[in-house]
Amino acid sequence: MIDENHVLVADQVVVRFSVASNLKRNEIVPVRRVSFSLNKGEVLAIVGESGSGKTTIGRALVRLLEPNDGTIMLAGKDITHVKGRSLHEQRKNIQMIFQDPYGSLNPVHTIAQHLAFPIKKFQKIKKAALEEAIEEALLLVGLTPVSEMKNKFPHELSGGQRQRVAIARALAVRPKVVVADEPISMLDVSIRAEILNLLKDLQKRLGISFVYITHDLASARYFGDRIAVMYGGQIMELAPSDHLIHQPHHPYSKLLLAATPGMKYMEKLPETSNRAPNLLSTRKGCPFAERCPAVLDICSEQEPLLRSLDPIHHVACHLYP
Amino acid sequence: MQTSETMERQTPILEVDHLTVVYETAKGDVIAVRDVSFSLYPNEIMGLIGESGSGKSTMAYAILRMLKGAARVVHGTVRILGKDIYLLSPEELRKFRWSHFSMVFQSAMNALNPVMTVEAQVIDTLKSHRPHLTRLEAKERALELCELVRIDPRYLKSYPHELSGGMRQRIVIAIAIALEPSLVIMDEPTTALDVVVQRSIMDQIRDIQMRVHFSILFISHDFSLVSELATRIAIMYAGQIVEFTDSHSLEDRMSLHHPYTEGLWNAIPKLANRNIVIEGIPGGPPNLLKLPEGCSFHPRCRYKSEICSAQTPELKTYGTYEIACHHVLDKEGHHD
Repeated sequence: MIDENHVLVADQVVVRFSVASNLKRNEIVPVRRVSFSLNKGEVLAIVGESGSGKTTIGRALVRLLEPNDGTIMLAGKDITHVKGRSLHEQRKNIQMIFQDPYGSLNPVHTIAQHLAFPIKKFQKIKKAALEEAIEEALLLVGLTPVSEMKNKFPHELSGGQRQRVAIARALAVRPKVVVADEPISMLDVSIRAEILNLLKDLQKRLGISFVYITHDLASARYFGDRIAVMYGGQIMELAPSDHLIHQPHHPYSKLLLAATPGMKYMEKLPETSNRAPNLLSTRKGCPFAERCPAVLDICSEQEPLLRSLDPIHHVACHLYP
Repeated sequence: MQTSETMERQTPILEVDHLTVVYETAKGDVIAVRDVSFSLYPNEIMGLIGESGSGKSTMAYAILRMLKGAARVVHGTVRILGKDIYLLSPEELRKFRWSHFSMVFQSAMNALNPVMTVEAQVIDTLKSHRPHLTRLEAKERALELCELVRIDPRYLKSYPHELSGGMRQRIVIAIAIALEPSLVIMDEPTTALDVVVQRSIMDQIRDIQMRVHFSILFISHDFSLVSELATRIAIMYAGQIVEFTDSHSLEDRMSLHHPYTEGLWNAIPKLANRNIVIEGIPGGPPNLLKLPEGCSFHPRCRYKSEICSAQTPELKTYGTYEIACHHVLDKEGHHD
């Protein structure tokens, strides 16, 4: 499992939440034995619908959540259960960009204050050097004129500019990995492209690895080197982006592709229930079984494991034993 | 699908004529919809594309005569089936609305009453417009509608919270077409839904429209989604319609477009080809309180010249398209 090139490795990661419904205590498992590795300088796109567990795994990776099982290795260190000071230490290596640029910035702090905090904390610099680092961070994400931007408050910025601040803040500590959770989905179409291109450009220039979480296959393909398709808390298929788009193997990947607007062929979707996946811990078998047009008897009994079709293409489906 | 020629000869279902809507604010009037004119013909599906703040939802509310608060129509008319709806008395409007035109709202997931069963809400809609209907007839119609939107009739007894987002959306669509209106305005009806659910709702809208025939004004920010459903697309920027085009023309690099349309299209990652580089439109949406002189898009436009800041371009016809831009024809050399 230990590979020099792997900057982030998730191995059989499980996250459970307990929920109360109908006066009963239930347990749901939004992330079920998720494993993947992220190479240095690579962009892994995690694609899924609501309830797929894509956000939960993202939060577990940056350790905003503590996994219940499995391990997360970051730059060769086991961070699965680190706490307190050593957890804070790791924030230097992994950072997150959130979906909502309106909620992720503090309305009473200036842009400079937003950036000063992580820089002071991790680079231990002050005064002139700090100012310089802040200006550099703003330049990096194209927030110019820097001297003006520094003293603005979030409400004075547009959605796209705010997301740039969030990106600058995440990159200010020079992390090895950035987890970006739907960073463009709340922005207008004409602004999305700029932010996506900025992320792409920064990834190339700084060699940062990205986990790009999205519901949009087209942007996943544009930014991601590889795509992991999640459903019901599990990875259904993991392959290089072009392979996944041109030769999807898992029935769910095929359904998702067929449903995405802009696909050339306009066949009707298979008549499957539109029910959300069952995340209860008591669920057996494949999470997609009840919607799957190619369902087999074994699917409701036994959980399919992520297997390699070839060295780069992995599928969790009983159709590919 | 009809060609535009046969549609010319028909009477339009909806005629919007020089419509201007203003929000009165403490800082001055915000012109949300500026001098918009278009017609929608029987059985036609027209897409309306715009980003947030473009005025597309305000226009929909103005067409329905549902503007509230600070918003009001300051100029222009809206005719549905030949009737100027702003001249109707409140009671006439109440009767006219929903039986002849209805709406599926952006927040359709929450458009249902949480303390009434789905069936009660469908029957309520039917009975309030057709008081002569017996309860039994209304129930039968509710079952028919269920079948039309492919919902198991047993869910009629459910409360909205017991249904998934996609099912609620289907119920809202069922209620919108319950009285067989000639026009349904759909404002981002699938925005809050997952891709697969969105696709099945879109399939269903197309399917129902082909079976029971009505016109749709489909409002969205998603180009790909709209071009799958609509035949004609209007593009709105800063309160104005800057272009009317055919939905299939978007992918054709040779067809003429407004620079904004071109910019929007180039900003979307394409699923089919990773190597198409996307680019955003520089700058941000304009301040509606202080619109740029001349063409509102010119500060963000790469083809701009002196005339653009001096003179507001009018919609001009180019074949089957209409585009409001001074440089439609001479910017071709810039195409790559």
